[in-house]
Amino acid sequence: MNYNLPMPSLGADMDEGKLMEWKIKVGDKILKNQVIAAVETTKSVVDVESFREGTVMEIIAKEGDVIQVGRPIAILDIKGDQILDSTKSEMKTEIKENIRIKISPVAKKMAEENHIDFSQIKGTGAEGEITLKDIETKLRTKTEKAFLGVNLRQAIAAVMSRSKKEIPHYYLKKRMNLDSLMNWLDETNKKLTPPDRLLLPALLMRAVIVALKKFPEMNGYFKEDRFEASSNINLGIAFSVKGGGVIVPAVLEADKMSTSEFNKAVQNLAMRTKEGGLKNRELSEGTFTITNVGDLGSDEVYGIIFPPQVAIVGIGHIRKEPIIDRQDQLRAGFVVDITLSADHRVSDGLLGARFLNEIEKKLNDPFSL
Amino acid sequence: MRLTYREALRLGLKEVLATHKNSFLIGEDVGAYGGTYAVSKDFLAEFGSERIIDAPLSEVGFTGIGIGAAMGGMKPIVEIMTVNFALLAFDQIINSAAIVNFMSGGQISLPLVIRMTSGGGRQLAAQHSNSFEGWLAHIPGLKILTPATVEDARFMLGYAIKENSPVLLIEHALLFNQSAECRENISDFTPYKAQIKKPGKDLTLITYGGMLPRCLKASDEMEKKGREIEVIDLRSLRPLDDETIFTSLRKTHRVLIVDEGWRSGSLSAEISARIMESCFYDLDAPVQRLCRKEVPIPYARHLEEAIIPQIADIVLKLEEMFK
Repeated sequence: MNYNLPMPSLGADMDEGKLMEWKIKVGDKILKNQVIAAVETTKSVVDVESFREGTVMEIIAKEGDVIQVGRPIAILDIKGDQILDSTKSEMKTEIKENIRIKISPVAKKMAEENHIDFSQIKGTGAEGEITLKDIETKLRTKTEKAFLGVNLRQAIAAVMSRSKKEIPHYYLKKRMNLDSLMNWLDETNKKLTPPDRLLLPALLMRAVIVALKKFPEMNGYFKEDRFEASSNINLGIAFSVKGGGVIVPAVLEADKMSTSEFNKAVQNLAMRTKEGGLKNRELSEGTFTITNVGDLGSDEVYGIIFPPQVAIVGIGHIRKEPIIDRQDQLRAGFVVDITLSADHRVSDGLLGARFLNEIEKKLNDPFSL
Repeated sequence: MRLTYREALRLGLKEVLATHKNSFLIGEDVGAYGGTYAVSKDFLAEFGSERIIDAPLSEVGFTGIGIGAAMGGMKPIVEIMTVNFALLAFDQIINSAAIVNFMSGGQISLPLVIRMTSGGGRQLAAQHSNSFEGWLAHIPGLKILTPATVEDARFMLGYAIKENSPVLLIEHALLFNQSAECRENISDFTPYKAQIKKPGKDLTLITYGGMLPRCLKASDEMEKKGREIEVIDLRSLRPLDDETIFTSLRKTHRVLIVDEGWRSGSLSAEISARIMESCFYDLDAPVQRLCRKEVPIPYARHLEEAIIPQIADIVLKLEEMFK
């Protein structure tokens, strides 16, 4: 049976994608979730995974073609399960017959970790083998390519205009004291080695995630005039892109992670945003967004909701301010202004205020994180 | 305090004899002559003939005496002139010293130290220039220490004498006149941890004993060419400190082992195999080895130099690895 493999939607704002590179050819047997192509969207170059198993019958889109979402890019022959087993064994023999590529073990490991197809890389080792240096070079060019020739500005303009046109935003702000959180963080980090140390922004996001579990009205999609809460929290994080613009990859299922897992996941996401290697799901399946101006120095930021999501939290610049404590004494303390922009079609200001209060409660009780 | 390797060995030995009243030194020419390498010069007068014992030319005999004395509760220090003559005592070392504890079901322990020199490079011809330390490191039940620095020359003996099992201290004949700063004491001294003598990020150079100064000089040469070589002094050949080797390799992804022994079945082969077993996926290039050529050592200086790894050979090998 033939199946038309469509250009996938890699984000709510994506209308078309440019096929940068095929990683399969006619006759290949592909497995579910196998990376089959690199597609450039307005945001970055994304590795596209196949949703089906089958044999490639025909490649429709040529490298360089711009294809509308949903239009076929290749035709697969999909067969029943019993035949799949035999294709698997055929695959094995095929690999055996392939010419072995000379690549050093560590280079191979790094290539696999970064989803780099090394079969096309020309090695620079003494015997033409691919070394770590070659993979690092490839990674750098991949990153540069990831953001080249992309009209990110236009995409942001389209999405943000749509958001402001369609979504009735309401805005709330609450100033929160971070002294107990920062003390706890210092103490905790003393016990950890540098790679495991928790980062303050990750911890603030963690507080938002924990609070979000109690407020399903903030986490999900507004589609076709109704809201659908999401069972997972896929936390989108707004990252600035070198050369201007913003992209919002998500930490998938952030609610199922421990604080330290989440801390690592955020760092890994930031690294891959910078160097390439984001997955399509990470760009298309965010259920909630955080924008963190942090070190840019603005005291507060009111985000524009990323449709079809229904809320965005803004984390401002962390700084010292005068605080009046419970004994009415004036002292200096660390504060941050946390804002909420939410969709009034889904929730009201009262609920939004409770949500911010819940975040504050979590920040005041770091052990609850 | 600045000391030569020879002075450091002498000081270390003197401190041990002064501290451990049940210790004694036995070997050829250790008393009246003051030791083949003048390490025990004047000790006979200071410690007396009961504790500084000139033995007849019978390695198997006086090594056996040392083993017997250790079984009886003494702390003997047996000096065998060089590793070449230790061959005569291999039965005692391997078939007695290494296994007494095992064969007695743990009832008998053997606080025995055997000192000897090893290595070539002094035009002493084939039968006097061997490097058998890698061979000895094959034997379970022995600990093999190879002091390559002045501080190790001074402190390894003091550590070894407190061990309850046989320790072989294998000194290198070419190091005796090297000098360096030496601390008065090192509180957390342990000989079983390899040391990074020079940090670097591009390649790990593993060595020990007489090859260490050459490797350090070769790495200096490479530094001028923009390559940062990390030089590891193994210090202990048995037990081997895998952790330090693996940690370094995971940083540099490349490794060269310089071993003065012959290549086939050498210590470098063992290290290479361990790296393959544990760090294969961290390697960016095959493990390389530089060893002595597989012929008996010739007497002629230029031939001897051609056979034992020299600084220029190490540099050449390193350059090849970066091609």
